Amino acid sequence: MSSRGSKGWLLQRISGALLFITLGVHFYIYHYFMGPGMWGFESIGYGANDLETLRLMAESDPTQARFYALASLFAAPVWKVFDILFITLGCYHGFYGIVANIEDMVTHPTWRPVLSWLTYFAAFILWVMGVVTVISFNPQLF
Amino acid sequence: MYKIRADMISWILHKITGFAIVSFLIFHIWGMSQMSKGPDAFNAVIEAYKTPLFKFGEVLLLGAILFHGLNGMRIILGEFTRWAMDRHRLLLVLTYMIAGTLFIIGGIALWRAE
Repeated sequence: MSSRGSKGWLLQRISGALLFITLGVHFYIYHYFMGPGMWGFESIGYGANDLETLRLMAESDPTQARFYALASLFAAPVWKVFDILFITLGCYHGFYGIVANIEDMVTHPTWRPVLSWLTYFAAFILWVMGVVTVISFNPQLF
Repeated sequence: MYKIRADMISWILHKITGFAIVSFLIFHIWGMSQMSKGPDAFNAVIEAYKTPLFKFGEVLLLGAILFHGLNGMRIILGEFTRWAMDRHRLLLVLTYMIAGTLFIIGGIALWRAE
C-alpha cells in the first residue's frame, strides 16, 4: 500500500464514499423511480417531460417506451452532470482498485508497471466511451 | 484466530465483489452507449437483460454491490473514527447482516420484476 502513497489511499476512500451516495441515487432513479412496476409515466416528472408523450407510447407498445423514457432523462442537463460525475467516480475507483491489487500481487519488475498502465489506459477508454455517450446523446434524433 | 479469519473473509470478498462490479461497469457503459444508436439497438440490449442468465447476474450484482458498498463504508468508519475502531467486531457482523437482509429482499424483488 505504502508504495502508492497515502494520496491514492485517501482518494479511494473519498471516491468510495461518494459512490455509495451516487450509486444509491442512480439505482433509485433508473431502476425504481422509472423502473418496472412504475410504468405509470406520470411518475417521470423531474426535467424529464414527454418527448411527444414518449413518442406516442412507442407507437402503442408501452414496453417500447422505455427507450424514450430513458432518453428524456438522459437529455436533462442535471442528469448529464450527474452521470458524468458518476462515470468518473466509477472508472476511477474501480480501476484504481484493480491497480492496487496488481501492485500488491504482481512482483515482476516489468509486468507490474505494464499491467498497471494497461489498467489505467482501459479505464480512460471506458471513461471516454461513457462521457461521449452522455454528452452526445440527443433524443430528437429518434 | 476466529477474528483473523472473519476479517480475511471480508477482505477477500471485498476484492472479489469489487472485481465483479468493475466487470459489470465495462459491460454497462458499453450497453448504454447503444442508446446513441437509437431504440432498436437499445431494445435489443434490454431484451437480452430479460433472459434468466442476465437476471441471475443482476441478482448477483445486487449482492456484490450491497456487500462492497456497506463493507467499504465500514472500512472507512473504522479508519477514521475511534468509535468504529472500538466496535470493529460488531460492525463487521452488522455489515453481513444488513447486506444479507437487503440481498434477500432485493434479490427476490429483482428476480420477480418484469
